[in-house]
Amino acid sequence: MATCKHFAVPLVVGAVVAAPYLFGEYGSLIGSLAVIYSLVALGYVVLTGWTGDVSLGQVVPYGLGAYATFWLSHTVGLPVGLAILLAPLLTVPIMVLCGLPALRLRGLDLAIGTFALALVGQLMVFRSLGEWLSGGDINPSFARQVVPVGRPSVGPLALHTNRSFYVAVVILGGLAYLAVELIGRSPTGRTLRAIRDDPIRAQVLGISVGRYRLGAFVAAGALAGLAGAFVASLRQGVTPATFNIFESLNLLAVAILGGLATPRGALLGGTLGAVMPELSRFHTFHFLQGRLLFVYGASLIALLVFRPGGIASLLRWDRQPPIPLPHLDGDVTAPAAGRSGSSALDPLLELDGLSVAYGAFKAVDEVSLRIEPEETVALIGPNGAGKSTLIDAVTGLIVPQNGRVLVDGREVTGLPPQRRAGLGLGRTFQTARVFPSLTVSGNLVAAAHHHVSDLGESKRVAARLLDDFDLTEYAESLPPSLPFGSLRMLEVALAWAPGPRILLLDEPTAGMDPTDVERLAVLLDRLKDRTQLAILLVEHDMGVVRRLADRVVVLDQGRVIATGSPADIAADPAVVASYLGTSADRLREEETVRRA
Amino acid sequence: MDIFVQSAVYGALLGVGQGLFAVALILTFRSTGFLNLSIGAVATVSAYVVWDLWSKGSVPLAVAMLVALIAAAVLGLVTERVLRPLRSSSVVVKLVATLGAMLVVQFLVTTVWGTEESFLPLFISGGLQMGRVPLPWQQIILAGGTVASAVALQVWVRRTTTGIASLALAEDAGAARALGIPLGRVSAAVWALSALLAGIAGLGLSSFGILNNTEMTLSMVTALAAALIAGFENIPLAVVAAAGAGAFTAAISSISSVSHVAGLKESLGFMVVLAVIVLRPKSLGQTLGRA
Repeated sequence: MATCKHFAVPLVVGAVVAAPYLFGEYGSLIGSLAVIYSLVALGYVVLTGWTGDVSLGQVVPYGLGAYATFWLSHTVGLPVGLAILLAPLLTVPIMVLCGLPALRLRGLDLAIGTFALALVGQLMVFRSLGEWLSGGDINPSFARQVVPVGRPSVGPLALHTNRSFYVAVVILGGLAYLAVELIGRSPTGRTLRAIRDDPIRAQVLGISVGRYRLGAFVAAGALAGLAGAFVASLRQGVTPATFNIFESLNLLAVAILGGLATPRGALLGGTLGAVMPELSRFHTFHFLQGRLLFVYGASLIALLVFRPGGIASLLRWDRQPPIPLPHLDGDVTAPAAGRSGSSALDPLLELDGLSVAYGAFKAVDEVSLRIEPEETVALIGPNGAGKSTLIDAVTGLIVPQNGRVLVDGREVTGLPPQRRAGLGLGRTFQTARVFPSLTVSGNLVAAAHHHVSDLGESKRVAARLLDDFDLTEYAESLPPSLPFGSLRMLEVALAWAPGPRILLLDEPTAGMDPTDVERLAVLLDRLKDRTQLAILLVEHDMGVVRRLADRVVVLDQGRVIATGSPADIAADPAVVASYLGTSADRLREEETVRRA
Repeated sequence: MDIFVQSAVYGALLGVGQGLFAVALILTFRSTGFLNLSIGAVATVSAYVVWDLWSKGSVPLAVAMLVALIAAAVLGLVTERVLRPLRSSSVVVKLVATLGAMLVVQFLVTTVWGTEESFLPLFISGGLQMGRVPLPWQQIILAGGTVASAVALQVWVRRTTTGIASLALAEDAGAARALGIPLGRVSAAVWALSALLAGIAGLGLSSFGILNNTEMTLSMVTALAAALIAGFENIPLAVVAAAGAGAFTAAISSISSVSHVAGLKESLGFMVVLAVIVLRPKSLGQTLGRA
């Protein structure tokens, strides 16, 4: 395996260098096309492989790049080389304009929307562009509406031959490849993958999901735009017939064929996309003649059914490189997010008459609550009392009908989840919501990254949390392979990573066995002393509540029915009747039975 | 103004026929989560079969139609069987897979019948006349059939056990299996039915346009818009929406200034799709009861 790896890189580089010499002008043409398709596929890696958005309309920026090159070189009069470099930049504002409405959509809706966009592009935009740019007089017939684009020159050197053009394209394409590869290894790449895995979890961790998705959409568009610019110059002309929906699907098929998880897969797919049509010219592969539609369609289905990761996953290219974490020296704590030095008079978190209703049913009914700095408040109550709904309303996942949420005396009721996280609000979920495709340390780095100054710092935070939560041995594992207790630990560690000042823990011990419950309780006790944050703890286990809470609030049918110290609450007759009467211990027993 | 209204009526009638595609789309999507865009290519196959056997050959029309519809249903069955392993994949993966199926069927069409354009004569000649706009019997019959099958399917889906079972499939396949619903058989039946409807639409519609390898795939757009407007839920509403979309496009296209912009007429339908999908409050995933 290792020797294989050692040979692979020089082999590929050798092939790239040798191609024009072995196959001459023809080989250079195919080589250039391989780079062009690879660029589009690289865009798909960023957009679909990492961010999880599927666009069926990549032909739009591809075509725009081609027409922009013509416009810049022919109408504006710039040198062709400069036009090629500027063309992708010209697609950026257009992609932002398309992206702003398009990215209100996700999943299937986005795919359908971009499908329609590609068809509008095919049927109208490119035809009109062709007509308008050619002044309507080059050739009135639609099919032959070719607008000419020249070949670029570098200084005094004109790249008239395919071979010289190939060299230029390889250099520029190689730079684009390196850029994408670097993004993939950076915290930004991990953030994108976190968004694909669970956008809501990402938002709650303070990640501006919309901005990242728009960024990925525009980056994929710019890469396709560059590819379009290259293809215009390579073919020395642009015709609207090239940019149709089938070409768009072919571009997607090629990207999926190679694999969407890694930039290397994109190179593989792009090369296949360029070489396959040409293979059919050779005798041995003559059966491919006229059957490419079939090959693309069938391999698309076969890959989706058998290998969703594309050829790259067959070659096991989609493994994540380990993150080298620093050794812990001294006491590193997670950073405190948001505004510091708040007025001592303000409570850290205040709920003022908060109400959430679903139709006639009031899930949360006029709840007012204050949590002071460094205070731990336990929120208890029977199932369906509105505890999780309350946390959802505080963190911005649902909109309350009435009432206000204040952090540091500042109203946040209308703010989106990521802004609230930026002010220091963190939470965990009842069922572990971590990012399954990132390693455990990748999870923590992605979560910490938005709240610290540099990569080194987020790695230190990750290393510290791994140590605190007994997760070091799993640092390079993927979450689905973790034992249940450790998965719950990761869920809590993830909430800690951005360095919140207020943490809302939604039944952190739910479903854990007694040993793990004890472990987590001890850990929370230690961490809350060290990091001095305020905690709102939703918990059924009265042992954990007694150990951690300074104050207990009891919620029943959406209303606060009692508040007091843990000892007072245990003695309160109303509480005993509505909740503790069933006995906390019995609740635990029921839970154990249910899990067994 | 007169021509504007008359075009709208003609467009509405054509739209109702395309509504059959919308019905087919809703069926497979609601029951198996596949937004099966390959049915446009399936419709093309059935139109070509009739053209080949009846119009070019000497086979009686009824036999040719029967063969064409069987071909469509078989294509639906085969596609369903091939894509069945994707049952629990995301709806996007399913969509991309049906696009793959579309490419394959498209290849089939190109290989057997080439890329040249042909014309399929009317099966039923004559019709009504409204001002200067002809309303051919064939379209009226197709429209009537569409409305009838939409109502019948709505009743089937809402009132019969198999119909309700077919919806349960997409919402929670695991639970459906636990209740003893034969997943494979229900899903195969729905796909065959959907392909059959597409085949009928293909036969009815292709006499009114060019018969080539891509035309029908592009005409899926009205269907898509209609299905979206109906929220992929209400089958009769989808037919009404298809009529509306058809009337809208035909009426707008009749304005002479519109025909001056290259391709504006053809892309009107896609603009409707774009507008509807961006403005819909509910996502398609939510329609299936998933987050």
